[in-house]
Amino acid sequence: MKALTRKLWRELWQMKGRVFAITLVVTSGVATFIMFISTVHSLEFTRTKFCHDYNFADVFVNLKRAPENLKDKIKDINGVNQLETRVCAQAKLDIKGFAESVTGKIISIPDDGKLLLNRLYIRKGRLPEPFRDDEVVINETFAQAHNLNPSDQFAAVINGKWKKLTITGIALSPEDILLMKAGAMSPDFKRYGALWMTRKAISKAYDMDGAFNDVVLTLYPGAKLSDVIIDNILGRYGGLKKKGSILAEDVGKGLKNAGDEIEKFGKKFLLSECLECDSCQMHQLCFLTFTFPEVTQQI
Amino acid sequence: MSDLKEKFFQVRELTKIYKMGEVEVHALRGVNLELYAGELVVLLGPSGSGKSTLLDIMGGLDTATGGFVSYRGKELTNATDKEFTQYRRFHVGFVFQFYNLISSLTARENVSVVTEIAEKPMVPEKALDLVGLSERLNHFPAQLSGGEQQRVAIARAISKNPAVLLCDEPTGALDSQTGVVVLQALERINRELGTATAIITHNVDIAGMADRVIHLSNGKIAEVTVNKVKKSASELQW
Repeated sequence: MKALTRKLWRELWQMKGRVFAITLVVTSGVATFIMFISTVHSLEFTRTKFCHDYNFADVFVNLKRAPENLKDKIKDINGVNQLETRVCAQAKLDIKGFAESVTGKIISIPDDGKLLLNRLYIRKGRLPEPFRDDEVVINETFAQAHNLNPSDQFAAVINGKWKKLTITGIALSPEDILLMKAGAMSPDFKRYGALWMTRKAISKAYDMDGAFNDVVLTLYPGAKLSDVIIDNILGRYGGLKKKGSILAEDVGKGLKNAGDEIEKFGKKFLLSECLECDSCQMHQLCFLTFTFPEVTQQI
Repeated sequence: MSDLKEKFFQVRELTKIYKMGEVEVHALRGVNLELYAGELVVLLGPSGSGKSTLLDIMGGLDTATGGFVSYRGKELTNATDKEFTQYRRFHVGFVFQFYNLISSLTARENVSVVTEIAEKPMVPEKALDLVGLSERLNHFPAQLSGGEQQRVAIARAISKNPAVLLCDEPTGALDSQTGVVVLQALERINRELGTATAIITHNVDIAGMADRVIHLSNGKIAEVTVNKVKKSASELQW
């Protein structure tokens, strides 16, 4: 061994306490860094897999009311892959033991329970029976905030009518991972939750038989996105003058025609934020969930 | 004597100016000297006379502001950094007032630091034997006296078999008794190995052991004297 190498080892041994401490700090730092990187990768992978497995939509469209037969016309638009019409509404909830105001975002699920897009992962219980209009599935964070479980009951004011609802299941949805109320700075799981009811039940309550007020769709891979929708369609109808509606141009043209058609029905058609799903922008989704109701009110 | 021996160093009109802001300090003001193979020279002078500056330039540790220095016919004044490194590594041995030993290495290992990179080194044990430390090979600097540490430093300097040994106040930090022991080591190396040795000192008594004594004053050589009868280091006392 060379003299200088011997010097190195001897001096390292002489300050072994400090060397150990430094090694420990560096190792801890590196380990923490690796742990964070691994966590980030794992979360990203999980998010992507969850979005993929539960068919998270690329585009979210919120409107006042449109006939169900418009669905086929939207489906025919070049670039649109899968499409699902829904009925969505806001309701005041009356949770036992919680005196403050609670709002629920009610989302319809097909009567047969087979959601095409934004499918639900049932953590506990089951989906509502098709013929029952008083059964709901609620999102997990809301359930945890109020310690609710399947078979528990709470009341809701749906379209001005007080109704007792029974929880049949607790679910996760890629659409409502981080649910936030319009204008909120952070999620409030106690005061805002997502509820899923059968399409028949919610349509009946909101007079939406044969109609829809919400569309979610996926695009074919490679469909070109642009921001023509807001200016070309909403701008014309006095909608939001803001950038952010992104769709394939041809999809946009098609939807513009659909919008014209909706106008014939004397309804206003609103397109809002659309998402590119190549990386499943979940965080944008919560923005959407609180943006739509507000947008609807402004039209 | 000088005519027969190889001229190791030739210094001509050497100047060195240190600039300290707008102030210029003239450390050397046109020095001329020669150093011959095998001779022992003492550079004598008061503090600030330019002794260390002259030795630093001759040893390739510093560069001159003007003038000319050559070692065995090769000019040092225009040498590149690489040439200086080669020169210092293979031709010159240094001994300073402070020993600069590596505290975590033994005497033998301190010498090995040099012998491991030298071209034709002697074994560390031989170098330490030459300075009378053959019994202290495995002692760490902290276990050695000041004189012994300085002798380890001398052993380290001579272990690469340099042609020239430059010593800057080698006894400056030692008492007279210990200083004599160190000088005896230098004397022995000069005698037995034929290493040309230049010793800087401000101690007039040490001049007695030199072949020549070069007196420096105010950056110039004031006088060069030749000792017709050299004293042995053991005869010195101060």
